[in-house]
Amino acid sequence: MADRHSSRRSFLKTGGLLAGMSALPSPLRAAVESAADNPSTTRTYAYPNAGRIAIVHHPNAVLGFNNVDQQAVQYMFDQGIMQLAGIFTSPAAALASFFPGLSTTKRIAIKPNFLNSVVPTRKELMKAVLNRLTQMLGGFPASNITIYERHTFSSVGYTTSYFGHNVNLVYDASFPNLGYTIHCNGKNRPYSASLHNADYLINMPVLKDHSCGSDLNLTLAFKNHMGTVNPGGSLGIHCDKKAILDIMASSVMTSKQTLVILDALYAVYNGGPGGNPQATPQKILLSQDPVAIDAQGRILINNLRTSNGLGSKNATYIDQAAAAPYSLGIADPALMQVISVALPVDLVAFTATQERGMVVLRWRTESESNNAGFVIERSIDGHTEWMDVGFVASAGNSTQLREYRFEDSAAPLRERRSLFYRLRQVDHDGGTEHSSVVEVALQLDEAAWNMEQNYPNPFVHDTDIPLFLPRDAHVHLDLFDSAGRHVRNISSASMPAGMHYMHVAARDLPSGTYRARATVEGRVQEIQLIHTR
Amino acid sequence: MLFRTISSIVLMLACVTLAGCDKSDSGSNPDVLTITDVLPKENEISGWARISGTQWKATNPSELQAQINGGSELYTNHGFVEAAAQSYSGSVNAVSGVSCDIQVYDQGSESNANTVFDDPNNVFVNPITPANPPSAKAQIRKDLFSWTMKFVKGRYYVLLSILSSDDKAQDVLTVFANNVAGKIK
Repeated sequence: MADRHSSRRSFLKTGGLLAGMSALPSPLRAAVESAADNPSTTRTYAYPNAGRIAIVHHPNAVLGFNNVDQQAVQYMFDQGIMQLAGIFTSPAAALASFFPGLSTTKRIAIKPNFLNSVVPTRKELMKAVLNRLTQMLGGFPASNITIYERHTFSSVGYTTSYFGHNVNLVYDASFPNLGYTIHCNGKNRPYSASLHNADYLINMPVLKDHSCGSDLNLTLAFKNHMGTVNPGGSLGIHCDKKAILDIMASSVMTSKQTLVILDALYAVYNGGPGGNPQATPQKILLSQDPVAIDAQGRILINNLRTSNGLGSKNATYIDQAAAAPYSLGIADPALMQVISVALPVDLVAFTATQERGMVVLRWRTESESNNAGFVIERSIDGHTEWMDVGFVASAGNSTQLREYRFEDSAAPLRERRSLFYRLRQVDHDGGTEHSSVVEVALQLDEAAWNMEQNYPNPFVHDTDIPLFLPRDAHVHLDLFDSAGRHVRNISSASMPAGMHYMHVAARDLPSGTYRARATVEGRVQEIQLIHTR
Repeated sequence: MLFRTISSIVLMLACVTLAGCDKSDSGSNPDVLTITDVLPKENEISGWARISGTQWKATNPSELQAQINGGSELYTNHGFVEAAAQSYSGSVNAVSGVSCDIQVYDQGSESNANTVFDDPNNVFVNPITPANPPSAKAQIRKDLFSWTMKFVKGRYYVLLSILSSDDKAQDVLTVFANNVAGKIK
């Protein structure tokens, strides 16, 4: 499996921009700001992919007080989860990769935070996550998803009608002792029945500071579980550092918590956890490592505090969580692999794909004013010798999403391995602004068509085989069992250029190892599929 | 007779502490005085109505934790006795539906209330001294979408916020603050 993952990501790295962008809403400006040499290989941590974190920023996600652009947030989540997973076939496929052994009978719990109903885990972000969760495996049942919190849902707009998914909204505040507990700081404390009944957990905290002393003065991924575990009573553990470290280190958490999504659309950086929004970072942070999430959250909070003349929050629990004996994750930003995903102002998508002998550029704007149009620039290396290859006039002032398209039919497709494009937005008064740069990895020869590893794999009932065609072609795709017997034909048809997902329904097939063999333009590729029950 | 006299003295002392307590807002027993009596009543401040279901009261740390979770430590570390809160809805500069929240904390002593006010985790950024302040120890600040005020009067620490960034919102906060402060002697 590891080799296959490596192979898959290698293809995506070289040709993925081309392949992925033909099917997805946009590419993005994703930069690895700092990266250790895979720190998790040199030290063992309690949570997987320690230190790997995606930070997504959208300049127009927050429109005002209690006013968030659902479409922008969906876009942020989709881009972030694909970047974090390194899987670009679809956001749902990327998301599914964080749930090992996932099947449609498994149950997922989600812990948001709306202690402060003015600055809660935004319903728009929750909806974005639910939209993709329910697309996993070709249709993960919403009824297997439970959102639990010990504060009322209605005050923050959490309803199944808003979400459009019939998920379970559980007001989980009583914490009866039903025989399952988490041991924290010398006490066995009951925890949420919703989590107990789930196979996986998504932790969705909010960017807020806290008034708990100096060791625990942020309320992020760790503190959010004061609500998973009963924090109250005469021996309350609300501000008990040892307790929250023990909770995150518990086998319940390390075995179930597979993803942390920090909602940093709004922020409270002073006087939290209550109070009104004090800033709009317009970010979401995604990681499997709760320590990395809280460490990056600490940076965000302290940057806000510093710029407002306030001292830094120590939140020493983060550093203690990274150190032995806890070793839960990585707190040192220098050791993290930070994937920064950002978009230029107003330009919400900019993609470039090779299609039928030309490069097609597509972009969208969220709003335009005083915009004369866009000059399209091309470079062979992305750094020098940018040349103007076309101009697209603005459609006029707008506050609505606008779609643009440009075909570069003169692109030197046969001369380069890749080409680079950027937009130069020109104002009516002559001002200009450049977009980020997108790269088109060119498919140069007949070997350019490619079949990727199926997803999911292993699979229970259904799976999809991604297949990329650089041009129209006849695709012959067959399935064989481990003995080499022909099981069925999946496709024998002419198909247009682009990315295709060949669906394989195998409910009627016995468990075992199968091979899918694709023949396109006389060349054969095979992959191995594992069917389980 | 003796019992009735002692009861009257206790009541008088309570009213000295919570001056202006209006018995009409004290539930079925008009002689019971609680911290909720300092909260402005329905339309006591013209144009501002109580939002139903938003009042809470806490008389011990556990009850306070149930309301504000770990945010309670700021108060329970410094002599917390009891607290009450209420939200109101009204207009600011012709914009209706603006909410204003008040939280009143009895910290047992003025010294404790001052400590809460000055706690490093409770510092106001760019604090403004309000015009017509409710007490000698009062600050107001503007946040992204709101104004917040804190003040100390006697053993009470009071926190008010209004969800409007309009400059006129700080006038509303000052009216609320002075109303509350006027009931605390």
